[in-house]
Amino acid sequence: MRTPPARPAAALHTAPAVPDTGQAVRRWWRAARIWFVLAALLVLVALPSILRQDPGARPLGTDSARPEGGRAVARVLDQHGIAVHPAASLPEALALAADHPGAPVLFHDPAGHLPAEALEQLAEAVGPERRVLVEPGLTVLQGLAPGVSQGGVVPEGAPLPAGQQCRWPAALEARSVSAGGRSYRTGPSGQQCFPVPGTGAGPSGAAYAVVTTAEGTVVLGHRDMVANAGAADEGHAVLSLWTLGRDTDVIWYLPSLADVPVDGGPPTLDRLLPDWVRPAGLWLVLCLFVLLLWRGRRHGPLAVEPLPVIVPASETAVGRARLYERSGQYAAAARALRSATVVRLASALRLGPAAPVGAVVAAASRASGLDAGRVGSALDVDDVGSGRALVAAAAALQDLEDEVHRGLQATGTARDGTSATTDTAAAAADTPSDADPRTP
Amino acid sequence: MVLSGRLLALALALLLPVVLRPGMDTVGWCLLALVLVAGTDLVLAASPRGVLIARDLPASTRLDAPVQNALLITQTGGRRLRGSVRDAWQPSAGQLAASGRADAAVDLDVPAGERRRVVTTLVPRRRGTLRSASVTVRSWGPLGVAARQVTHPVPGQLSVLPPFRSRRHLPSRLARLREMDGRAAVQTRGGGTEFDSLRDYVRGDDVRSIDWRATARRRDVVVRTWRPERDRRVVIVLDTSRTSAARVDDEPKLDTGIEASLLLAALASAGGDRVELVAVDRRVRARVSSTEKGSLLHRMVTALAPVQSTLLAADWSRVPVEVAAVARQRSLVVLLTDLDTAALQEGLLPVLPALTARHQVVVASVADPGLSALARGRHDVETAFRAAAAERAVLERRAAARELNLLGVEVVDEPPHRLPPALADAYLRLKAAGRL
Repeated sequence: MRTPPARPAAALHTAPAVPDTGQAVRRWWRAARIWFVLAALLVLVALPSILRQDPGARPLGTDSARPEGGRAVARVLDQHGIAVHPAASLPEALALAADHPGAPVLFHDPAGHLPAEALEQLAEAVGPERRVLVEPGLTVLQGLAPGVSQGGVVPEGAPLPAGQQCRWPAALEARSVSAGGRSYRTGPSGQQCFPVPGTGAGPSGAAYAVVTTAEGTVVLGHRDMVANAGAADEGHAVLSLWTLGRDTDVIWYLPSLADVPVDGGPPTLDRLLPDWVRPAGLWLVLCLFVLLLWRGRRHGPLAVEPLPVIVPASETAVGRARLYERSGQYAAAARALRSATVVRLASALRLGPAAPVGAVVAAASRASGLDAGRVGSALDVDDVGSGRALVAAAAALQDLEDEVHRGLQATGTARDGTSATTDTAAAAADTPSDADPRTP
Repeated sequence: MVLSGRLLALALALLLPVVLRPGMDTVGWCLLALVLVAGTDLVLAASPRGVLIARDLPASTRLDAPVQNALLITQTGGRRLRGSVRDAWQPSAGQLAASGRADAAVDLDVPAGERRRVVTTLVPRRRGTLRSASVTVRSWGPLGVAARQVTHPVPGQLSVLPPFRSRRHLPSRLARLREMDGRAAVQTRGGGTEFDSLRDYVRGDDVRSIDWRATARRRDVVVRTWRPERDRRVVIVLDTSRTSAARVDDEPKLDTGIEASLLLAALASAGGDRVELVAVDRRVRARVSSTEKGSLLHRMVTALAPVQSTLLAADWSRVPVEVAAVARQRSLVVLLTDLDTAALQEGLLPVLPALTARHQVVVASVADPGLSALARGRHDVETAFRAAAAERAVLERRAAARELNLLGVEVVDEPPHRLPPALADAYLRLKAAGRL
């Protein structure tokens, strides 16, 4: 059906088919800015992990000036004519070890990047007398320093002296090391220096911060002995330079992610699952994305409602009630209730607007049949001093009003038959005074 | 770009090849297929940009009265446009699609080069000017998998007039007015003080109105009829300041005031009086006079439709000036405001003598039935305090009303639904007593 093209009588607006350029750009920006925000978030999240890939920033890195870096010791060695050869992967390290036979190899692998097979390769290429291990873990000890066992973590505390059993000249020269890192044990064949206090009680004997094996492998129990932060403390400089400065070269091997075997390791959950699970999961994520786009799209912009001011009328009364309550104005509240009751009673009992309280009491006791003293006590609220008294006074006033109304109704019905007309006339005459405002 | 549930269904169906032939290449191919399907559909969809939209909407309606909101949509492009259209009316416009769903998009099917009329119903829930900023057109491709969506800035506006619900009180009050006028055949002495005419006595006429001299001249008994004064002025001053924003029974005091002033204006203009209306807070928000052309009520609702309460204190010193500007002789000045003591003491009371000296003044105010409800609850400390505060507020209102009475001002203080008829009755009473 084609609508007749007659223009309707009412107001008619026509949309411009193409809005002007400024508007179009602004609208494009409004629509696209969420993507810019998402991209910025992605970059912010990815940036730290990208930066962390910097090899120089790794612990004991020869170029790292951070507290845990190794630049200070590497520079000092360099100044003494000892060439430092950093290696970040096993092939590199093996090549360097072959090029410089006799050069000590510093090995530090806190993340455990190097698997056991690679350690075996390294052990074959590097003789035990060349190895300098910094804070080695169990796997590294098994591979590169057989005969050395772990002794636990060394608590922070006073510097450790070289100890009685120590005959290793470097340790004797160093005299003491600061406490921290790990401790180790080796058999009587090797040298054990810097005993950790409090470890001698166990069956396996005391643990030591630095040990050397009979073959000459040096195990340094604390990274700070070589790192920038602790290189100048205690006898660390002596220890590190003595052990690393034996030759004209030193190989500085810090295993990195490149050493992690791609296919090695124990079977993971990933390998046990059927091979379609991964692509299907990926596809379901994509389906979820489609679902979000489907359900999340609005049909045009939100409509704006200019909201009106909403002020509940009784708000001020409630606020005033809270003020009374917070400042403990029990008597004032009771007087307000009393005044309202007196005004209402005066109106119900057809007394004038300026009737004194005594007249109201008398009339109320007549109408309700209550004792005048009781009416007076209900209206006497000046000594109300607590919440309980206030509630009681409010209830008493309410009861008094109810009684008076009941009494008035009873008398009204009693004389209903006789003086109905005069009653209505009186009520009519009283109407204006009913409407009259009364102040207590 | 908009995607549909069909694309999701397709994506889920493509899970089968991904499972049967696992591998990243399968995922890649499926993704390519998905993108191709959506892209083809997008390319084949008619452009929603090449659509001309016109509105066909009445300029105004009453509150709660439904109105047809029509959009004329012309497809200027060369393809048939299948999709939906949504008119972005603000929620209080109460837009209902033909299906009865609130604020839903309406289906659209416009062949190339043709025009279609899309109708929704608006049931406005708020007085004032309602607006729709834009119309959004969504155009689906032939597969219904993806759609293009464009928002056209097509501003629309609808003026929602006050409902004048108190209209139902008008017939009874007009009847009373006719009785006073002596025009209705009731056997009472006409109200008012102005001598109207002599007529023959009929049984039931008040014997006090027999004109004995005229009776003596003729053989029959003749009675005098009276009628109220005509051509008096009624000036309605509507306070739109912050006190009028308070809500009683979920209605702002301002709206109750508008209802009351509409009823009074209708009654007074029927009674032959001239009506002036001024809505004022710190400045004049609306001004209507019955001396201008056109229906008074229509002009009043049109002028009052966009008036909203402001959060400012009223400037009462303006009021005598405004009243003097519209009425030189003695008039009935009706102030529709609040008996709030603080506002009264600071604003209205100082200027009242200037008004009462020349005019009869009536102050009409919305009483809050919520206060008496508060005053009844007395079962614990918190409610007892609330009752005390409510009683105090009621007493203060009474005191304020009494103070106004002493200045010779009539006070009408009633809950929202009773205020318009009560104000009309006050007008009739004053008119019958000849105090206008």
